[in-house]
Amino acid sequence: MAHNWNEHLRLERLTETSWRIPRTGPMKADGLVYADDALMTELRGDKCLQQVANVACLPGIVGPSIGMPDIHWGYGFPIGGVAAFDLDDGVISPGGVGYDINCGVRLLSTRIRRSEVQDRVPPFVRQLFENVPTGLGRGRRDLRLSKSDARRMATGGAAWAIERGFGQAGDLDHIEEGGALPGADFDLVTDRAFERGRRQLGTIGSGNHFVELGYVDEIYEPTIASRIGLAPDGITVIVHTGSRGFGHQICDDSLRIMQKAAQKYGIYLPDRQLCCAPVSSPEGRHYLGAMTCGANFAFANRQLITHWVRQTVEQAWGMSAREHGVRVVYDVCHNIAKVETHNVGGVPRRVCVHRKGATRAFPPHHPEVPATYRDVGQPVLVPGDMGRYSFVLVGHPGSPEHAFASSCHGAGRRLSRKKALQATRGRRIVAELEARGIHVVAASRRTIDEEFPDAYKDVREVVDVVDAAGLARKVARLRPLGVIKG
Amino acid sequence: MTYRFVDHTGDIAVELVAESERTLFAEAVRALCAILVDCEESSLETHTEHWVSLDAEDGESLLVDFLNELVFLFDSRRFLPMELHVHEFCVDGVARLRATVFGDRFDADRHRFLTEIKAATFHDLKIDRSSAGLKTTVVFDL
Repeated sequence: MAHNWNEHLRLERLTETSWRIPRTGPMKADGLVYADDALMTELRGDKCLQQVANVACLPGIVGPSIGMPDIHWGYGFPIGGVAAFDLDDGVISPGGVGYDINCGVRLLSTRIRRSEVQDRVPPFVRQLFENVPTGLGRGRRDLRLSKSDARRMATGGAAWAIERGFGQAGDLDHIEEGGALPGADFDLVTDRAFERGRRQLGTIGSGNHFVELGYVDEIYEPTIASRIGLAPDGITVIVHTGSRGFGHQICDDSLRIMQKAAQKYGIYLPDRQLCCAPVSSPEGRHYLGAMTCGANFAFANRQLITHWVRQTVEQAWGMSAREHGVRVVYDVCHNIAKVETHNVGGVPRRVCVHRKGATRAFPPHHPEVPATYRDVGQPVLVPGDMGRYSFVLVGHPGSPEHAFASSCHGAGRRLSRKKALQATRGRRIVAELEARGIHVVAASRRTIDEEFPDAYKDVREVVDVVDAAGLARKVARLRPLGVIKG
Repeated sequence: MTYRFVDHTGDIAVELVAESERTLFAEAVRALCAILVDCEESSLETHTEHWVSLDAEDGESLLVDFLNELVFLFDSRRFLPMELHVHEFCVDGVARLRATVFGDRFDADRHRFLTEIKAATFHDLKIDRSSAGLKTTVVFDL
């Protein structure tokens, strides 16, 4: 196999917001990338387009290998990649999910208006930083996870946390998959994964993870916004974290199995990080069972943090539960592989959809959209950088025709961490953000510099492409007031 | 024998250059420590050690497995790896490493924490061997 077949890929324009990478060399399908001219100009120099083509080489791919508008260079799959595989002939790849299994975003809304608390943001952020552990594997002293707890958590997900008093039963209604994916098999999780994750349950981690206090700044679809609980100037909280060391180790353990499996099944891998096995093989089922435990850890994690957000509102602002009314708007996974039914060529077909740095975006009337949102569609949560804004969208009625009902997951990095550090040398990003009314507390100053707003693309450009391409509809824009990071 | 951070949009990539496999692995230890903490602004002592025993199918897999062992030790034991003492090493046929890693126990009062590491990846991983020595680039997921 020629080694550099993917270095000179052709790119054909399909529409204002989509491009085709025609099948060539060992590719088994086309590539399809959603981007406008401006985004594509930035993407052309990035290795992520090669990665889209690499994914198209995997056996049993159904439809094209897809890149979302926030796509960027990852490892194995690109970040912002979506690919579906046949359940009989197709594969499942840990590299198509990533190390942070069920990394995702949860949005909380409140009854609080910005004017009520605008002058009391710093004490809230400081209290939040106290209540929600950030990085370093240091968890809350009051949360100790035994092995039998972990077993129940791995099956129960968010419900496990709620049963222990961390949240309200109603929270589950607005979480993808009800806060727990079925099929978890804790016996497939290694002791190492348990050991790595046990102290990290209920922590956000470092890098791009965060908890952000904000408010609804602009509404594009008033009826939908009102239905999903977003009111003008309403205070919101975004939680972005995943399965921590538990999921990272499950991925690492699975990659070892998959390296051997790919050889066993004679699967051509353009990149070893794409190692995989047939979905129906023992190795494929093993990964799915273990990955599901990681996914449920992440649901439990975001549920615990939700509880501590409620506590923080009560402690910092002296409000009762009735007064603050913190509720879950929605919780989406953006690193996951799931078996879903999609219309392929007019025929419903069960496929294994990988979303790595991409979110599900089911349209109105889809049976898996919560009953309360059924007629407006599934909320899609797209955080931006910590200085500008984030967006809430809902699945577009036409979304199933594109991208297996998927949408983008964030802004996408524009600068590498190294370039971000160069750009912020000698600057005080915390003070700069404070001057813009955004209070940041982080465990590491390096994290703030690496994550400074200009390190990211303007998420508005990404969301506009998603909207124009018919993947999801813009509903509201949120602006940050305070952020905690690892 | 050096390491340097090279550009990677999403994560972090480290280029390792060394005269031999053994020194390449030693350099990888130093690079990993420098991702986790600011080595210049941390008071680092080598008073803790961990035994590492790994077998892999080739040098690249051994390097990734080794780095992920260190990531595991940091996450689960707060072990900051600094120096590698190799007892047994081979990359011909089956790759094998038996070694003691010396380092410190992470302490927020003495160490300036930078970032967690999720894993070292296999992405585009190839150890290039030439008469001048060895060179490779490892992409880490942060």
